Amino acid sequence: MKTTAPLQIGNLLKTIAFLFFGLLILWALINYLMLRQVYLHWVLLVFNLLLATALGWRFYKGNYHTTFSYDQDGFQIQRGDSRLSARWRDYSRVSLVHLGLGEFAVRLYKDGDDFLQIPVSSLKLDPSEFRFQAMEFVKGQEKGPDLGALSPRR
Amino acid sequence: MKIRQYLLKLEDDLMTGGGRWVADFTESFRELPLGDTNFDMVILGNTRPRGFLLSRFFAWVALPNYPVACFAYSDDPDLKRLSSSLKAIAEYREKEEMPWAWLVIVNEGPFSPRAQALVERNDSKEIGIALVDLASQEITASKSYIGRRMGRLAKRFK
Repeated sequence: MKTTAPLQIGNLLKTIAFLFFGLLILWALINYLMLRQVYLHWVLLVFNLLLATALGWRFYKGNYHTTFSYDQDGFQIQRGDSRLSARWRDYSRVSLVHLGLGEFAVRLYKDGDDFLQIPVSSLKLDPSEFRFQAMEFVKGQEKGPDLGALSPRR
Repeated sequence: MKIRQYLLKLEDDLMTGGGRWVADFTESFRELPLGDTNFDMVILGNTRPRGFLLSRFFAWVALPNYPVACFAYSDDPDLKRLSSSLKAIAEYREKEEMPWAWLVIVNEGPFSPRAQALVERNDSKEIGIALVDLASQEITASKSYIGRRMGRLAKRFK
């Protein structure tokens, strides 16, 4: 099974920055309410940064970090604490979706409009190549195409 | 240039390049059977882009909101499959309440003069057709506005 689990720097930095400024505002508020002044020192900022990094890492691992493993029979995707395993033959159609800002995902459709989305850009996979590979996997074990269920997403 | 390579460029241009000035093309299907025709590529979109904050508000206020699509198939120099594909597209458009769609027919060689004349005469406002000859890099488009627009967008040879 091939496995990919790249670090999503954007999401990690976003989480750390959000926590850093959140903790800073919380500290300032507590200071002001208790002492009527805001105490700031570079040691405090470094401690805040270390705390935000540690908490941010935990939050990132629990919510954003994505691990994707696959072979020709099936795949397993884990995002944060939630995990899903499926077989390619459970799906009948594959599409490539542009999520905006150059980010792509591959959608696997079951019969009807029910689909699962694999965030290929976040996983550092080539979106178009992976789409063709997924099509081969699905086609290799296809039950038969669903002719009438194509519907645009609005 | 091969058909597969050309379709990749066209897909990329519609989803992330010049096509975004016309509509927000977001989802692309390959080898999709629809009616009696097996389309090499079908890209679905909407005239109202999603955007973020100000651009989203502007799109909501100023832009129309309806689905559009670009269908493509290949290897039909005499347009023998044109009628069945137009029928499939018309049914799909009706089902999805789609005011217009594009049809791109790609070939690694010239189209017959009859096929070119047929497309050039087409002035349908609902479907814009473009014939793409990859060997000579020539494009024949229908004369309606959306046809001419597709003709310009289909020039993706480099």
